[in-house]
Amino acid sequence: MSRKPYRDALRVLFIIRAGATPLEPTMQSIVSIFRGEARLHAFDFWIRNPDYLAAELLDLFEANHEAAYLRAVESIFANEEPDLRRLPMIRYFFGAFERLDDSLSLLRSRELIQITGVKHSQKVQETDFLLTDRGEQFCLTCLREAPPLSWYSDRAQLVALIAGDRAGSALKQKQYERASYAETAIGGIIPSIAAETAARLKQLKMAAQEWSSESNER
Amino acid sequence: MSQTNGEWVRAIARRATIDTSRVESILAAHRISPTPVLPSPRRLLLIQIAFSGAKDKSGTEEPFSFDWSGLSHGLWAMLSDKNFRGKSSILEVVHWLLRGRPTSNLQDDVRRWIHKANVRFTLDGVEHEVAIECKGGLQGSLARRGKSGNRVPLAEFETEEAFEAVMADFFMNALSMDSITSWQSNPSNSDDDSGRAVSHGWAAFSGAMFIGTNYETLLGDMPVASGLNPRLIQMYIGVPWVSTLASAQSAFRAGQNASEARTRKQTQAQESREKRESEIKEDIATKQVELSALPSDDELRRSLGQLTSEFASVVRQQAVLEKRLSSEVQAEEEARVLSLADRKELQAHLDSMAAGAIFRMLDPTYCPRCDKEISEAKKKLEHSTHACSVCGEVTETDEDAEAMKNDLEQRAKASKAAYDTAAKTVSALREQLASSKESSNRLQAQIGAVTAKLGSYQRQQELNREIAVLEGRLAEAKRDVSQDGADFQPDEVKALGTIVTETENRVRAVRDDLLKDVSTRIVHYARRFGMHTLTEASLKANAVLSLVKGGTNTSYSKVTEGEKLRLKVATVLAMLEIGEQKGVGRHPGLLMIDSPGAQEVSQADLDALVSGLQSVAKDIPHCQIFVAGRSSEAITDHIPSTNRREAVNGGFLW
Repeated sequence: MSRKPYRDALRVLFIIRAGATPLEPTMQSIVSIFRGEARLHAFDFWIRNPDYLAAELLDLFEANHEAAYLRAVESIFANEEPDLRRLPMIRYFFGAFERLDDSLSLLRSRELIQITGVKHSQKVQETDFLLTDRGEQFCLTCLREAPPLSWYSDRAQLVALIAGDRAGSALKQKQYERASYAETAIGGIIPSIAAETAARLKQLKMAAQEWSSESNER
Repeated sequence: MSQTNGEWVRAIARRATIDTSRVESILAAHRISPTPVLPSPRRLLLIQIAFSGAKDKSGTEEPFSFDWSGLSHGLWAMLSDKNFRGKSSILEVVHWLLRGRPTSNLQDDVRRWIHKANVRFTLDGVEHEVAIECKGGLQGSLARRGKSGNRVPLAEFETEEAFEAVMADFFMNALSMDSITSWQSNPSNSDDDSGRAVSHGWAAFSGAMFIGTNYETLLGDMPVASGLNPRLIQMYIGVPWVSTLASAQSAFRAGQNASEARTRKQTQAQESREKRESEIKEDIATKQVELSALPSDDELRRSLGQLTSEFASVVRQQAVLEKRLSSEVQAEEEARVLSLADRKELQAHLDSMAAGAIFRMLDPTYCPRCDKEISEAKKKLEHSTHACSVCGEVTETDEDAEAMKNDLEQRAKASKAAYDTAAKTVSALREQLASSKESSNRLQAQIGAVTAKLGSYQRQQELNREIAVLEGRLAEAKRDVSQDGADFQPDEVKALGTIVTETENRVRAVRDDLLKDVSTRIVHYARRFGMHTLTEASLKANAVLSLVKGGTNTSYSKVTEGEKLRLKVATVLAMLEIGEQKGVGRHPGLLMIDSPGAQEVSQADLDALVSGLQSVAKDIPHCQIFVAGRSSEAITDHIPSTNRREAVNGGFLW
């Protein structure tokens, strides 16, 4: 498969935008800040692996019975996303890993983001990503000019919703655990869990219908 | 055979429509002899009565001897002024010696006292003597005395049975009597034997010469129930054919009986045979139905062969289908993966194109490598040469991306079509395979069913064998049971009936006239014995004597004992007289009348009888009459002392 640098860059941009925290207008031309490279990788994993995202959504549905999660999973499978949108990643030690340097430099070169780091005793401990005004404007243009790309924005927002304020390490731990069920060898491609997740969806839908009818009776 | 007999046989043959030879063989088989003409009557006359022995009274023996000789025709009397003085015993001794067996009237002690006894008599003038010695065992002889006075022994006997047989033989022959066979109904009347034939001979006939104290029957001393009296009367009157008729009737009834029994048995046999036949037929039908429900073995094997080959072909077809399915499934999967990859690539390309288009709207501001701002000169150069303002490489144009998009769309469409086709093929193959499996399952079930039926071949053989056995039994059951052990031929009973009819006609022709004549004479004699009010008597063939007395209809059984006694005597005398006139009749002319019981018959009646007899004896010269009774003037007046034996003053006759 040929390289898709713009698409990948755009995906990363939408992730940063969705997962970033708005900043006080102390720095000129900066809108918000996305904290942590590991967190960025974790977000990217869920977007590139819709089946893992679906599994996570089902966990949430099981926890709080929010029908929206179930509908989101349904939509993922209805659109064949686990097949069509999956972008396999190499697993590396504690989680999925693929260097995002190309995408980040592409975004940086267009002045859509800035990359900063908090330095602790000469070493960068955390990398943060700043969304520029220009980046925000670019995103809006993109959504206006190329509606099919809104999928990346929507998905990034969903992922951000799921991730909440969990740290990147925690998210990666969760992803790792799920992936390890599939017994992926280190360095191997992270396996699809589409089939089992689809089955789980079906099961939970049926349970949901029962639950819903019971609650109506109450 | 005489002319009369020939006529009789031919009449029977004609009536029964059978050959005369057949008639003769039936007559012979049943010992029916024609008796068209009876020999003229024979006359018996006692000339001496003698017996002796010892009276055993309270331990002492008192010898005695009685001898009464010089007897001839006429009226004789044994008289005493008291009862139980031996009158009846004299009469009983005579009866014993003539019959060959004592009657029950002979008292046991008297019988024991007698050691010797003999009776001499003439039969048509020829003198005979029967003599017995009976102290201890019985022995004796019967002899005839020749004209020169010499004794010709006819028979000797040493047992009571032999004595009786000798006397019976002798008198039956001498008096030309035939034994009478009568049919005695079996009172129990069981199905198999509703009666039997009984032959009566001298013991019955001799009773006609003795009148005891039982007046139940008109003639003789046979009980009414024996059914013998009508025959006895006809016999003594001397009606021809009587014994023939009796034999024929007896044989006919035996035949009817046997025939009825046989018919009954045959009907029963027929019924049970029909029942058995229908049972067997039912059995056969049941088995045939079962047999026909079983298919023939050949058919089964043929069907099994066909099914097996069909099954094999379906299974082969299945293997081919499965192999094809397996490769088609693989092809489908490949097509699916390919189609997915194409669609994925198309999606990626579209996203990429869109993203590219957006990005290209921006020119790089900074070098991504060194972060230096990109100069306006480089930006202008890029617009004119399509060389990257950063690295100088040729930048990708929208045209390229569009071409690639078209290419990818084509590929995705083609691979999707290939996948759909493959999926369709797989689905069709699966359907085919399922239907093929259904066929093979059905065939397998059919093979199983037919194989199970193959086991029925043995049952088939078994049924065939059973049916053959049953058919054999049916044939056996159908075979008519032959008339096994039948004493009577089918035509025989009919012939016997005809014999009875023909004989009866002959009997009737003479009997009725004779009975009428006898009846007239019975009235005549009874009136002479003092029954002055009797005006009519009619003796019927059935031994019933109807009377008109004092203008009233009555009959023998209804009159007083005294009248009965006089009618009994009158009847014998009437028969003797008519017999004498017509040259028929079998009565030998001897009549012994016992002393009538005082309570039953009055002395006046007896006197009337005796005085009548006295004059009658003169009218019928060949008769000899003995009367036992109490002494009375009437008797002594009519019977001369030479003809009397009397015990007076309470003495004994012997």
